[in-house]
Amino acid sequence: MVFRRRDDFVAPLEIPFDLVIDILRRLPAKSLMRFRCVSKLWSGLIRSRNFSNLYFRKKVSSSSTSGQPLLLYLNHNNFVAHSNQVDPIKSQQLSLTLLPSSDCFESSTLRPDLPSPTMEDMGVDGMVILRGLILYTFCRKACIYNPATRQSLTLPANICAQQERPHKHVYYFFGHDPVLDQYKIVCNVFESWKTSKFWVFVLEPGGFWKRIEDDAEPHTPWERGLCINGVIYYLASDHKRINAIYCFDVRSEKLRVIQTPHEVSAMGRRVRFIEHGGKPTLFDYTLIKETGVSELWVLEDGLVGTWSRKSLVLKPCQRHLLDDIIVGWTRLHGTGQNNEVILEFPHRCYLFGYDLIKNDLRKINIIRERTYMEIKVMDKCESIMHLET
Amino acid sequence: MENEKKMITLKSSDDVTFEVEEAVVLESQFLSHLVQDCPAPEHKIKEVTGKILSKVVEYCEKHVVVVVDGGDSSSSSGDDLKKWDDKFIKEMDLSTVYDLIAAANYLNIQALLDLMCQRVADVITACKDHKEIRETLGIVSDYTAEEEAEVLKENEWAFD
Repeated sequence: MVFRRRDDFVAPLEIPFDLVIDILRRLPAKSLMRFRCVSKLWSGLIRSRNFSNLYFRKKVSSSSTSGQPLLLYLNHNNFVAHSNQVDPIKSQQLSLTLLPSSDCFESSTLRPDLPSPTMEDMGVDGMVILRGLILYTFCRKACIYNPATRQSLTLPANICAQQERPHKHVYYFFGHDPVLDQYKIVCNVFESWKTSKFWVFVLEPGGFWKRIEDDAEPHTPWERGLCINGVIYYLASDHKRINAIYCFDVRSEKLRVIQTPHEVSAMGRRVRFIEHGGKPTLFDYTLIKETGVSELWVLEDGLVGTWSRKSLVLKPCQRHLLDDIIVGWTRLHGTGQNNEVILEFPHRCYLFGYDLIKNDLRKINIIRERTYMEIKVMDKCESIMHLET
Repeated sequence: MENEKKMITLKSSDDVTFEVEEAVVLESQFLSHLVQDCPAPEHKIKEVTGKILSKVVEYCEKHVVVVVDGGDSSSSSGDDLKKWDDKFIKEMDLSTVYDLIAAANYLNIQALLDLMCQRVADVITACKDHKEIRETLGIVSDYTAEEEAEVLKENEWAFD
């Protein structure tokens, strides 16, 4: 495979193949997609898993200083029946980049990017973001969307899960095993505190839903989980209504339970699971408005279950920023490697970014008027992985 | 100090000679090993022509000066160097860029290789469609008309 001199087709100059790869992985995704149309040979290369892995690594290593990308949904219809659903017809979808700001008093603004690709009729239910890919649920089916290539894929229906009674909930989790470089989708069908059933789908040609027999007690997940280093973690409560961390090892497909520190295990606490310094962490912000104090519980040794505690106290000069908010209505998003959490309120025109390393809270104005909005924090990864089953 | 600078002569495949300071040669991993292993005053580089070697020498001389002078307060000189690099590649046609990629790869000069690969990537990025990419890089399509129509449809968004 060679690049040839334009003026000299007879004696083409050959660039070693690894250098051609080095050139191609510098291209923006959009340009690569144009390149796919050049020839079958190139298309095959660009679609290959080897190349997409090289491309992924390059992008991850070069994007460490860029802003945090967000997906923002604005609903211009004032009435929203259910807070988990945004009507795609009446809502506007924007993708924005949250630029890092060092000034703790000035509110920074979001810079509108390209409008994010329309995800057709997608109700934005149960979105999970992993390594540049978005998993979401549509009509109880799992769908994956790659915003860099604008490819979307609906996984085959999980027939057994479809047959479960409609009042049972279907949650999909998304994990990646770094050792075998496999993506897996976990389907959790549950009836609150009565039953929990699991199926796993390996994202590859010929993939199918496989039932995981697990003797974990029935539990109710509170979130869609977060995959860190080959383990999907999610916060759930068992039939005694006690919160625990459920850990699904993506490679072995085994589920384990880790008790949460008793300080955060009670119902009614505002706790979110985030990634902090590369480690799974519980962020407890129950008292952030009242006392300015929030707690980080870092799971130090993965599945063993040793927690270390770190308290953060808001700077006195920043306490007033939270005067208008109601903690119970807040949604919190982790930003992974950015060490910032985003506090979001359904009917406000701003967000808060809380830098957990610098202990710095900033108010970020994003829209002019109050409206219903919902955000999703994207990761900074850009993947060109071709999705197929 | 000035007198102690060791000079080395590089000779291209077509026998063009370049006399350079040893520090310049050290920019290339390949040449620094060569100079260490074989302390002759002149080294023939059979794989690189005089035209290309002159570019390589020009690049290395510029970069070695900046690194030596700049020391650690390199932010302004770094900007200057970037401007210089931009000018250096701007005037170059693609076929020279390819030759320089091959030379930088052979001589193992990573910064030059990065610069040149990025240049080709920028040229490709600037192409507005697949036809322009084919023409610029001299790639012959192996798609049938139907296959091409299909792949174009799949990636339609990338052409706006």
